[in-house]
Parts: sequence; C-alpha cells; structure tokens
Amino acid sequence: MAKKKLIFIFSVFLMGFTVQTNEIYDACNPTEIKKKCKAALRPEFQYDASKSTKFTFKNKKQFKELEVPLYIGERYRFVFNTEGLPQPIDIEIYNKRYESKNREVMFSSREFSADQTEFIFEPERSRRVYIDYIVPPTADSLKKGCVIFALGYQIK
Amino acid sequence: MEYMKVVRQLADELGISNIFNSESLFESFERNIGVEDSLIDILSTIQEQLDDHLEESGQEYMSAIYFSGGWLEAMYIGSKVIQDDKKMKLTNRLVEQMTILDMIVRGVEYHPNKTEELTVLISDLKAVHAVYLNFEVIKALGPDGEIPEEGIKVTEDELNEMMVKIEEVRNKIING
Repeated sequence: MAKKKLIFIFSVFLMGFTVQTNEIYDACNPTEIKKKCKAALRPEFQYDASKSTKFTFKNKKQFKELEVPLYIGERYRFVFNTEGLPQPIDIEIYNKRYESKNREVMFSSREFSADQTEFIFEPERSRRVYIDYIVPPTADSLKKGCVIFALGYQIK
Repeated sequence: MEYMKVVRQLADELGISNIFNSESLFESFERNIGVEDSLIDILSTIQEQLDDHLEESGQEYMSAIYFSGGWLEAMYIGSKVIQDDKKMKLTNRLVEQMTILDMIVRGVEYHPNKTEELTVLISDLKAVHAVYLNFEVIKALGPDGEIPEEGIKVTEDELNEMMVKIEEVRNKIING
C-alpha cells in the first residue's frame, strides 16, 4: 500500500495588500525548527510528512488552508511550531474545507497561552482535515515568518 | 539486491541519488526484509530526507509527481494481490486509497512547467479517478460524503474496472 503522504493544497486569500519598501525582517529558520517538530513526534509516532508555510505579514488579514488526508483506523499526531513567527497567528483545524457550511473546529491554538510556540494535536477520528492559518494584520514594518507543521502516524 | 540497484538507478535519474546512495541504508533494508517495524523506520527516514531535500532545493512541486508514481505502483501491486485473494480488508484499503487521488491530481497540476508528459499523466490520473467517482456507493455518498469506518462495498465489476484502469495507466508509464 502506498505510504501515507500529504499533498498540500493551498487556498490563499490575501485580503488586501501593502506596498512598502522597508527591509523585511524574517524570523524563520525552517531547518532547525523542523528538527524540533520531528523530535516531538518520537518515539510514539513515525514521521509522515512536514510542511513549512511562509508568511509575509501585511496590513490586512490573510488566510491559508492546508488539506491533509488521514487514513481510517490509524492514529496521527500533528505538531506545529511557531517559533519562526515574529508575531502569533491562529491555527485552526476543521473537518471540512473553508467554504463548507456546518464545518466543525477540531483544534484551535487560541485555547493555549499566547506565548506557547509548540502545539500538538491528535485527532480522535482519522479523516481528511483542513488546517487553517489565520494571519492577523500588522501595522508596523513588513515582517516575514513561518509555521512548521509535521505529521506523524502510528499503525494500530 | 536487484531491486536496490534499480532503486538507485531511478534515484539517479530523478536527481535524488544523494538520498539513496547510502550503503548503510541499503544494508539496513536488506537486513530487515520481513521485519515490518524496521522497514517502516527505514521508509520514514527516506521520506524525511526526500521531503527535506525537495524543500531545501525549492522543488516541493516534484513531491506530488514522485508520489503519483509510488501510488500507482502500490495500487497495481495491491490489485494483483486482491485478484488472487479478495480479502475485504485489503479491498477496503485499496478503495480508500482512491480518496486521495483528487489531491494527487491537484498536486501534480501545481507543477510550474507542464510538459506534454505531465499533461498526459494528469489526464490519465483523472481517468482513474473518474472510475472511482462512478462507483454506485460513491455517487450515493455525494461530493461531501465520507467513507464509513467499516468501509464500503463495491461490486466486483467496479473493482475490476478500477484495477484494469490502474494497470493500463501504470503500463503506459513503464513502457514510456
């Protein structure tokens, strides 16, 4: 059987734009942060996939969605690390895509303390899920950053 | 050992030989043939290195193409196994694999440089997906329907049609 693997499909909505010439501050160091994410999967979960998602903060709210297929009957662990962000964003996980009615939130980073940078989620049911990154507007100079996501699986 | 040589040759042609050139990886693979947990460990390590390589080289868009090949081959092998022994669990697993095909197609379509070969691959994968979407049980579930935990029942004709289509596409690729 094909190894479980993610194909990330982005839906990107830039709700406005900013033109500035300031030097951009980039807080992202994906290689180092990814190592931490992978470490948070072990030893119970095997590495399945990972994804760095980069953001350039703007003066308008932004939204990105990742689509993640999960196979029935297997256990998964989602690890998010936001150390590479210059300011917090919201991470939410839903059972349906963004435009669907009646979608249910399965996880929200807003339930955790504002200074937390590592988030772990293990869904009870393994089905396709949608990770939403909601990037708030920023008023100061342009800033860049990234969220690193790693997925692990455990065969029951 | 022959398989390993072929894997190396394919990796060379794909430009990812650095991942598959490690002697220890191959020795470890050979030593652990038949030890499921160890093989899962090794495959996870390869996947991890491949993902890192593609991300660092800015070639993440290649991931879906590599995966589409692996997916087709796995589906082909799975089809051959259930032809000999129609175990319900494996049949369900095979049908479940079809649920990610729409994502694979979108991933391949994401490639910035669509060659003729890629356009044909996309069209062939869509043809396989169309067979799945035409299953009576999938039509009944509707576009937002989820396959139930206990699996779904497809008819033997539907299963055969799916397997024939997979074999057709797979053979087309390996015969160039």
